[in-house]
Amino acid sequence: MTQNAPFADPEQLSLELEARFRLIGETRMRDLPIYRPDLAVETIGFRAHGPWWAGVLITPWFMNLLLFPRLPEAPALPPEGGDLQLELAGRSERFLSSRDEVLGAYLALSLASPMSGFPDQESARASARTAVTALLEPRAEAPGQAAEPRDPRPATDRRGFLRKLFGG
Amino acid sequence: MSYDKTLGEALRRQGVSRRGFMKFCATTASLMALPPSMVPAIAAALEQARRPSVIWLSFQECTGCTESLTRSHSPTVEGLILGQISLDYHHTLQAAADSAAEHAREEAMKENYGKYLLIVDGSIPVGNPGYSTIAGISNKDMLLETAKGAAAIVSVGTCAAYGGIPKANPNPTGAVAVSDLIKDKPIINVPGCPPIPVVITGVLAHYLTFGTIPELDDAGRPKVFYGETIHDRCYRRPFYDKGLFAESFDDEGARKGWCLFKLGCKAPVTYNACATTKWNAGTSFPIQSGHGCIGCSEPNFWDLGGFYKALSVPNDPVTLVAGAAAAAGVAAGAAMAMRNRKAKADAKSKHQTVTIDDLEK
Repeated sequence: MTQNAPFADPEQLSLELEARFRLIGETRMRDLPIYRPDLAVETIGFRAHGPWWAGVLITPWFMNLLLFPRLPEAPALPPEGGDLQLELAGRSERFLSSRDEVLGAYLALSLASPMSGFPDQESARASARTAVTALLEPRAEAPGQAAEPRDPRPATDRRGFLRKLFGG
Repeated sequence: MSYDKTLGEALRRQGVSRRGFMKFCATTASLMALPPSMVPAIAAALEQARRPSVIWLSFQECTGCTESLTRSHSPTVEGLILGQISLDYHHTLQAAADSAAEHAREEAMKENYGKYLLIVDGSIPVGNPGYSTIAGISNKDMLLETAKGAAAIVSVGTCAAYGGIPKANPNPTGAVAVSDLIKDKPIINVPGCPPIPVVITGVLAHYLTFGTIPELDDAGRPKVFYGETIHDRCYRRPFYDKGLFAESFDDEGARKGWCLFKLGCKAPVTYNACATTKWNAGTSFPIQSGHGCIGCSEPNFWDLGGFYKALSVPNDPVTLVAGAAAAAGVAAGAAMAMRNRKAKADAKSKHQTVTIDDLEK
């Protein structure tokens, strides 16, 4: 499969992404017991990030960080279900490759699924924003605070890493 | 006995190449999510590590944990590493029999008191001490006696970690987990029915490398191996995201490798490394072979609804602590999911299951 045609801008991508996943939610997910009818499809913080459009997608059944190819130099995506190791916030993350008939090819990193950990949309949104800040924005070092000393203990999993990042 | 031999010497004597050893160290590092720069440190630590005395007790179990460990990994270097600990007592693997076997256990305890690693597989029946005995000693008495001199305990398998299948309703033997009886020792739970072999050896390597027990989650499991759900890492996850599900085991969706959620897959609530380390030297794992995850590394998995019933996670904000986390401004969904582990377990114990027919209405 060829790479999808690049989206013009993050706003267009966000609109198409939301429309697509709203439709998927209505037609394929709505009746499943894992679906949270009180949550809504929403994109958070899509922007250019290296050769990608990057941002977080909230749905009633998952929250992922998504990467869509933006520039020709974006690496070719493996077949659906395959993975691609990418550097993100100084850490190598394993993204899963996905193909959609409308959106084309993209990469996904799971942040949450199912969504039972979020009491409401606002809390999901707050988490998504935190993830965008932590993973997609260059970290400004607080004055008087040198680069974080490397923790000699084994970094745990991505969740542990995120928690550490967010000071939890 | 050769307790003073280091692992490095022992491995060389066994003909394990430097390259093979470094490869093992690299695998271990990557498994523990350590940067490659840590590999030489791991190699140095492992080479210098004294072979620890290990006593392995098997109680109400099926020997699947030992099968998993020994079969799928010999003759790889992990298997040899395990051979190079001083495995002083293990029913299935030891050559000694009869009173000589029990003597080996007593001897190892005496010589390494306070230093040996105790590994347990199987649950302990407390309903009647006669339900399961070894050399006339009840499982409970043997555990209490052997645990006294242990530096740490590793509960291998869901039975030792949480009671497992023997504890399944109606729990005829009064089976309990190791942690139900031992309260004064560090206990590492390595659940799974059976656990992934490389996870067992990885926990051991961690102990040998750092001399400490790894960071554990609420359920006593090492976060390095049990930090994420199988669903988070599953290669079928892109299909779940898009709402593409197999509806039966032989439909078009099943052939196309779509998500098995509707067929009862428990991966969304199962914390284990199956989707990344896989089984049989990285060949496959249950979901890849076309069957949903049964959640075998989770407490009480046997009694949490049918294996073929789609999972339902109740939306019960009362049991969730996410709101507090959000208020504190540290509300990463991923982070909260970790904090909510206990809330989730509580929720799960209440979860409703539905049939495929219900789903298709």
